[in-house]
Amino acid sequence: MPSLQPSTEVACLLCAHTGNEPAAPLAQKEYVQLRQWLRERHHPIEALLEPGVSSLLCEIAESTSLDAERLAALLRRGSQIALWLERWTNAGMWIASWEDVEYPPILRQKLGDASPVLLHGFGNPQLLHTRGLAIVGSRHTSETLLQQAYAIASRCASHRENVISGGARGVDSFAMKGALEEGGTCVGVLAADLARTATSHTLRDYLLTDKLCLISPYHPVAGFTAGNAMGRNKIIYALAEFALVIASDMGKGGTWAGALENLRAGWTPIFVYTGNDAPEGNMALRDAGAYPFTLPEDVQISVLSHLRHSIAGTSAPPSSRPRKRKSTVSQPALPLDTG
Amino acid sequence: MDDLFERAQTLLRHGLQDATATFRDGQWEAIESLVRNRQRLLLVQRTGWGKSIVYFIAARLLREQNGNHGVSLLISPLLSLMRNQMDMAHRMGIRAETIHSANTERWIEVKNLLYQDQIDVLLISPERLANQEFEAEVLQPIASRILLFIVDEAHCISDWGHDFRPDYRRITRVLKLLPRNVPVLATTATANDRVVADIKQQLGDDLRINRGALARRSLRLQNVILPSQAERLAWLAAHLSELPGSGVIYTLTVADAERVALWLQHKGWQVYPYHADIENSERERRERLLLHNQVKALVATVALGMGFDKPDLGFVVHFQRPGSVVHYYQQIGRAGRSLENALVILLGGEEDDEIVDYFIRTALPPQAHTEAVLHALSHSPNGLTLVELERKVNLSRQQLDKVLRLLLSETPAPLFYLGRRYQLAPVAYRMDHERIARLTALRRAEQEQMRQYMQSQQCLMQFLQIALDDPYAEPCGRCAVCVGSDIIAPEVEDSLVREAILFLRRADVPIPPRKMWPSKEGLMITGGQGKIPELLQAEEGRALCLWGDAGWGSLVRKGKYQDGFYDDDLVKGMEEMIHRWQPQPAPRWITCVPSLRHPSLVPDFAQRLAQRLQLPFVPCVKKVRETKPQKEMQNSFHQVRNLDGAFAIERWSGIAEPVFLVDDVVDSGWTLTVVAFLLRRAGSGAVFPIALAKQVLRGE
Repeated sequence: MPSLQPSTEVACLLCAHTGNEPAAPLAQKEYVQLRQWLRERHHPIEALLEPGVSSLLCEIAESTSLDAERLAALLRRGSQIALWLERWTNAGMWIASWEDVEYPPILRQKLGDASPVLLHGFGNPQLLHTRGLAIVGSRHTSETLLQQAYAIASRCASHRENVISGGARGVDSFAMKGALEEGGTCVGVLAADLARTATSHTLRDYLLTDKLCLISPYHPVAGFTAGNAMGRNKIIYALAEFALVIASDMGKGGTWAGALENLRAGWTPIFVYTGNDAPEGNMALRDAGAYPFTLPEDVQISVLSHLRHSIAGTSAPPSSRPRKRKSTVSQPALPLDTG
Repeated sequence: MDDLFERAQTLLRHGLQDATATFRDGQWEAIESLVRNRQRLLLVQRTGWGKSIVYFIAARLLREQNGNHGVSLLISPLLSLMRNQMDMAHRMGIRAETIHSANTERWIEVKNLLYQDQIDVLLISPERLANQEFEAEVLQPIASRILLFIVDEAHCISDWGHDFRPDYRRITRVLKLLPRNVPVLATTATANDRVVADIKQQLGDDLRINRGALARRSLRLQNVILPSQAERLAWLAAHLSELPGSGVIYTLTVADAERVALWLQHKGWQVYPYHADIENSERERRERLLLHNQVKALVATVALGMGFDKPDLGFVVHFQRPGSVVHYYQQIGRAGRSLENALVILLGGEEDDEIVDYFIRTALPPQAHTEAVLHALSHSPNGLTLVELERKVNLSRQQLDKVLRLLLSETPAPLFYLGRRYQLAPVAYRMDHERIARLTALRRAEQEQMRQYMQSQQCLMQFLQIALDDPYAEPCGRCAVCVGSDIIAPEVEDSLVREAILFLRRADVPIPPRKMWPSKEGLMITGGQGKIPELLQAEEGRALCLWGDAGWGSLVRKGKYQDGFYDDDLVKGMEEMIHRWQPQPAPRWITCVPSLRHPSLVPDFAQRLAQRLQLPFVPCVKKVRETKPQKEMQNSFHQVRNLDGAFAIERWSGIAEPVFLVDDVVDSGWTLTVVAFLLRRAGSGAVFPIALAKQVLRGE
């Protein structure tokens, strides 16, 4: 692996969670604040790596909420970063920050300063640039719905459409399996346990054959928290051309919250499954503005083309039933996004 | 500005215990670029220039600049280095500590000092860096305050460097990932241009290079060509008195170190062997003896390491030719630091090529081995422990270690170690054949270069300097070639050579008995598990020689592979060995290990031996099942399984007496163990194994 560019080095020094940190790593907002400060005064980010950095840090401390000593301690921990990075990169992990070529520009476009400073990843980073369909849903749901997730992902794969999901048990896993087992590609945005998942026996081959990319904004051995689960949802939505909720609880849970967040922020057009067995949470989301969806029976019809046609209100290709939006609009009618 | 210099000079004067000492050319510049400018620096300076002065002072100054916080990490490959360098550091008032495999009793103390930020420099070996527990317990807690990375023997970073040191690959990867604001000091005495360019690639383009002349004014070099070991032993015995003071005699293998030392002791010299098989405290004791000139010489392998610092080392003699100019230069560099004249003699011999070839061939595991390990892991979703791996693949512990170390050091690594198990990583692995072929070709070229050195008609020191791309190379005016005559006479007396030959032929090798079966299963067919009951064990046996050695070795090999028949001289030699040995209770009959493949080779020998000893030869051990050749079985588990149920004993009237059990070549000793076990169970007396040769070859 080639060595890192200066901005990535700085991002790692200031923000990476390696364990045993000499001071609290910067949170997203703090890092953004620092970058802005540097930009406004025309300092390149490399300035933080120069020998005389302490005077710069004092200046920064005077006009921001950041503490000079904390920044200095973080900037001094190069060896810790190197040891941590070596251990993980040698197991196949890569790391990317905003300026890196692996980092998908769409995240910066859609999420702006909320796009994660560091992405930890395994597998082919090119898949992050291919957009596709995000499939999300609860961990606990009926067999019918799990099979739907599988079938829809499988259909995507058969038309070479990328599937993006959260890697959780339940809907996410079935979606990922559906895509991979049909020979398609998949991106998993994990809330926790990136390393364990990436080294699991079942997924290894897909990673090796460039069919799967697993990423997380959290460090490779981060444990699960509800906060982390929520935090990574925006990435799933932002990466995708469309999102599809298979099963949501009513008024609570990560899927519900993530879907509403997306409706508010407008990251991507969101659909919700309204077919057989659809739970009331799904219906509520539809009422809140998500487009309804069921999978067309004709296997020749790709999911993405179906979704694009649904939004445009155009008649679908022959042998598929037309779809109409039922609710008041809380999302803009977007032009056909063929990105 | 001057404050820094003043402080550095004060430390220097303490370290050298000299109130007027000043920095050598380039030393202060090196310290300044690290401390003031936080640069990355490669020091290419000859042994004795004082690289350690640079890094100890730099470490201390950096810490003082950082409010007396932080530690520097020094990575160096050899144990001996650490001891001597640390003494110097302590004189400077610098707190330098090490953690290595031989000072475990101090670990808790050192760790505590480290956590309390009381250490200036932590010295570790490259293998430590690869150790997961060490990293978690020692490195991770302090990694955020490492002020300076010091990599010694930095030529090992380079692909074009001379060693396949897998642990350095990890160091290289870590260095590549070090953010540019962490200073790095790389030091080496031996880096030619290609190596320097490679290191630059690994450490960054803004690496500064500080390079000095490699010439060693006080050394007088000479080559002496004496093909046979016996001749070289004779030469040593004859001329050791002409070599000034105390010195080092280098050999390529452990066995040679022992043998040469024994011979010289036999001839009345105060010498000791020194190698990796000697216990650490004893090694320290022998180093001290040499330091205080209480021995004439240590006969050492490369285990007598780089930093061993005896300023008045009077001579360095090489009993066998090392594989490369780099190694040679490093080893002779130890001589004559504070002397006007030190002698450096290279004795070249016929076995040198074979030994070096062996090292080159076995440096890397064969592809079949790595494939076997990866294959076994791919069928085990939860990974395998080391013991489980050993069961599944037919590789010795040593071979397995080699594969694992290589694979763990690849970039990226196809496997990783977690929770005591090895597992496959999501990384596609292709053995880099091109790289391996390139490195092997390089080592052969180095070997050839040393052959040329031996024959050199030009200045010997200049030859070495040119080989190392020293820009300051010029004739030394002091070596045997420059001077036009021998410094020490190369001749040897015939009688002394004959004596050496006899000595070599009396190097009886013990065969220690095995006391435990290799695994819980033991012998399924034969029956036997766990400990071997004492009454069913073999006694300690004897082999006439080491396979391939300079005494009987070639005769044994000829008999086995060429003639199909063992020379009578070997029978006589065996008889004399038994006479010297006098095993008790004295065996009353002889039997041998049978073979279906070569039915007469060993029994015929045993029969002739029996005749000479006037004892009955009773071939009562029968082979009832074919076995694969034992040497194809790589670990104990497979070796024993191969022998299980292959033999049967035919009782005879005199079986209850003690017996000699004859075989020609002993390797793991399992065949002898199994047959002895069966004999004892069948009612025999004590079983004394005797063999023509014992298989072993180790270079440390």
